[in-house]
Amino acid sequence: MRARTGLLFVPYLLLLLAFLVVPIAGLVEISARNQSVTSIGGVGLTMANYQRVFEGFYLDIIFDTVRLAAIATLIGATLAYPLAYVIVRSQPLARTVLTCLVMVPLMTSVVVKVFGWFILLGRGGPAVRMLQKLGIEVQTLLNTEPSVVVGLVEFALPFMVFSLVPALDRISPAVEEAAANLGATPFQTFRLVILPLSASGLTSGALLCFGISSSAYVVPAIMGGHAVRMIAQQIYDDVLVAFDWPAAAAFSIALLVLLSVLIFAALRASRRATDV
Amino acid sequence: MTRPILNLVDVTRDYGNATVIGPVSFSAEQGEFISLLGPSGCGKSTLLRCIAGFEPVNGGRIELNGKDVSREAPHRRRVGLVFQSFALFPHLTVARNVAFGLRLRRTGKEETARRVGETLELVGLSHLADRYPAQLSGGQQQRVAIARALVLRPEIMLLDEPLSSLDAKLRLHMRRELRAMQQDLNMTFVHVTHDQDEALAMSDKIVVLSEGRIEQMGSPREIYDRPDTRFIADFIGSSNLLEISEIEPAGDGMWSVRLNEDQRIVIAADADPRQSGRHWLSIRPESLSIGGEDTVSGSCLTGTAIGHSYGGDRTEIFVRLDGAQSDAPPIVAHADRSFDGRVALTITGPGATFVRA
Ligand SMILES: Nc1ncnc2c1ncn2[C@@H]1O[C@H](COP(=O)(O)OP(=O)(O)OP(=O)(O)O)[C@@H](O)[C@H]1O
Ligand SMILES: [Mg+2]
Repeated sequence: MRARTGLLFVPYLLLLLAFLVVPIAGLVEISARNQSVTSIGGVGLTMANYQRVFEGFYLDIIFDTVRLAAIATLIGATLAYPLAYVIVRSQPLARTVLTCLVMVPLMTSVVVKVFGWFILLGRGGPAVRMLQKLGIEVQTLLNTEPSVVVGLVEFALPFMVFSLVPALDRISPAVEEAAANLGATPFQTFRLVILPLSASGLTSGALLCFGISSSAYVVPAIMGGHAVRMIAQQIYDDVLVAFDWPAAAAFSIALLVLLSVLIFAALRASRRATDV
Repeated sequence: MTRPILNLVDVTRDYGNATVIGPVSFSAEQGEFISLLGPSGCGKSTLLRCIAGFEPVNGGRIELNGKDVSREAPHRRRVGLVFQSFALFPHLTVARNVAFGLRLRRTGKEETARRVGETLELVGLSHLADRYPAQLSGGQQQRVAIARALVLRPEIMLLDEPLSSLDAKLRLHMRRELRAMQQDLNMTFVHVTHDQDEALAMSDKIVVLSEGRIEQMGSPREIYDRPDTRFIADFIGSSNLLEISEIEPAGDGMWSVRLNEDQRIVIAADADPRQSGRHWLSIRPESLSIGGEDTVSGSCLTGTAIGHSYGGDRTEIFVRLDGAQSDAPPIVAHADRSFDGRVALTITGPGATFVRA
């Protein structure tokens, strides 16, 4: 019986093999070659591409990417908790409406959303004009790290909310009331009861947010201008501007390894946290 | 007269346009054990939740120690609540569940350990201190919930059916333990139950609720011996309820009662039952003594025994009264043997009272 149930997983494994394992193997191969004007995949055999990853320029990009993604994840979690909590504690009708409201951004292309921000925060936009009226001289709110973080948070927020909802759903309102009855302020109730009991949802939400943010391309490319450079932008430029596939491949593999290590560490940490 | 520690004045609670509570007024003295008793859905839990602050009151006020707390947040009220659903913290061990409130009060490590240990001892769970709630039986969880509230020594403990998931034997044991604990610590308990035996056995005062209102309030003996209404007479213990067609004074605090053409009986009452609109007679089965046809006298009810049921220490006899309507339930009397045919019922105990409809 169990073996036969396992068969249901086979199609997915085949997909994974065809569209993940094989291409990654290809990437690994390319990443170990020299750039060549005659062959996209490069020639020869070298570790130089990986050495370059650890040079200042690339290392800065990795560091900035991790930092921005972590900030976006933190802000996302802070914003998502109240949203998810309100959704979980509402009556069925309100719950449906609120869930849809959180979902709407997911149904819009990230390009459209980013151009929305572009108009809102950019040159001559309403935000800038308002600040100017208040006597603050700015030309644009774009092309800064904060503007990129705003874009990343908006993109990742629904994923965080939908990870937290099922976790919060499992917490009985009576348990919160019990904490209050024992003298816990709302904040203490959150810290001592809600947070530990929803740690699993928080971890999976944080991993999603971090993964999405650290591999974002459109948001930093459009909202960050020249001021911000993240890993995906660099890979894109290496491929399409510098035609340096081996460098792009090595950088991709580095990104993959980095994310895998972080995800593994986060899962370990959260398991230890929920075991108490 | 000491000031009541808990005082409810005309408390009401509505859901939309349905009033589920009130207006309700009662008070509790320091060290008093009060039971809120009533059928399922009458608003007992809602009333406790109002006192603890989890339900806003729509009218009236709740005073703790003379201070109006109706608008005070739950975490400031300092009343212990044992939830009907236990509401233990699933991520904490038994010991840490019990320590939760102490931790919030920044109690020192040693004192916390000592008080948690003592309290677990009291509820007989010392050996399970390191278990998680999911690893406990319902009865054990309930005792953790009691310990968790008790360890803070609140002036008032609110308990929502704290013994409902224990087996009969443990329930009797915990009944005595809880009562002893409450008396030793001189705490005020407001205890919700729909088990009348429990209310009668444990309480100093019983508040009987029906559909969100107080039906009657008094000591267990008052409630049992002098029910005000048919509802109380029927809900607390069991009772034979008979509609009266005429009451006449018979002098000396006695009243001559006519039920129908064939049945006339004399009952004692301090006040004129006609003035308080008491047109029903409640007679406890144990206050009816039953005899054969040869025992018929001037003041007795007559009828036919139509069946009996053996109950160990007594036998219940079912009697159809002469002249009773055909759909009226039979009268129940306690006897030490079975009876057949024509019988006479005489009132022997204090259990015959006039009640309102
Ligand atoms: N959120 C709510 N909205 C509307 N009505 C409610 C709500 N909560 C409770 N009620 C109603 O209030 C009444 C009292 O409920 P409550 O839980 O206080 O009863 P109870 O006496 O504790 O019953 P039980 O013995 O079954 O626990 C019930 O009729 C219930 O249907
Ligand atoms: Mg209840």
